[in-house]
Amino acid sequence: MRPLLEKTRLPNTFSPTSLIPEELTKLRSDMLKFARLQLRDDSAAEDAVQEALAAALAGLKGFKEEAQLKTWVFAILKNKIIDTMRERRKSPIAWVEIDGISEGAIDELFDQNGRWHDDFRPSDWGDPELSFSNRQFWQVFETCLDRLPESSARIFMMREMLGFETDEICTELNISSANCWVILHRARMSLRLCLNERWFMRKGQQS
Amino acid sequence: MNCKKAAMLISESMDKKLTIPNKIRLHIHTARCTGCKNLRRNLLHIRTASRHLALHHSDGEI
Repeated sequence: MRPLLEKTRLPNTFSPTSLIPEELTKLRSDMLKFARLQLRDDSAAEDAVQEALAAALAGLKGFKEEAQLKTWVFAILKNKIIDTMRERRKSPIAWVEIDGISEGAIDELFDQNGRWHDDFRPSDWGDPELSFSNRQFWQVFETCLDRLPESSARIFMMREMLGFETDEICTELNISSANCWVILHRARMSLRLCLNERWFMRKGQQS
Repeated sequence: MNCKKAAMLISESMDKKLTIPNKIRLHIHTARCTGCKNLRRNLLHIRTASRHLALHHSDGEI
């Protein structure tokens, strides 16, 4: 791989081979982080990243901007992750149970009449772009994702990151649509709560 | 409709079309419930964040 990396940069175009080793290492570690978050299995994540990079290198394309190259490489990685998830379905799945967020955890957000408790009533988070441009927000976002129970996190990511339709997720994971949807709803609610407590409420106190 | 039920419908509406009666009930509820109005915005905020995650991961120093 090394000779490839040492190739001279083409003026104004970017391809995986035109990245300097430091950039490639950074890209690889970003990809790994992303794959680990979704697959929750280090060796499966390594494999997916390896295959995605190989496919990216094989498909040598020139991009005008480095950002386009990254978008493209990540698109390949997403497909690899989806493949891995599909493969898993063929082997017996032990993990698809509602394994964490209980009904009680959601119930306690509401009073006995089903109204929001004052402490949990959703507040205005302001302009999303403002949070997206803050690096710390993404760290908190990842922490909150990591705190979700395993199956909740997987279903949430399949829906919200990889863009599966809910029906597809149920079929892929071989669970009833009611179950699948309950897991997704609880995952959203608990992620919202975590982000609110760890980011949006704290921001409010600081300003 | 109470907030607990509205929250479920808000989440459901992000995955599929609601039935017309549910859509109307939810609309009436959120029109006067700030908490549920904010919930919908918060969940959309989370959706957009999730879709951006890969890109921001690769952005290096933002």
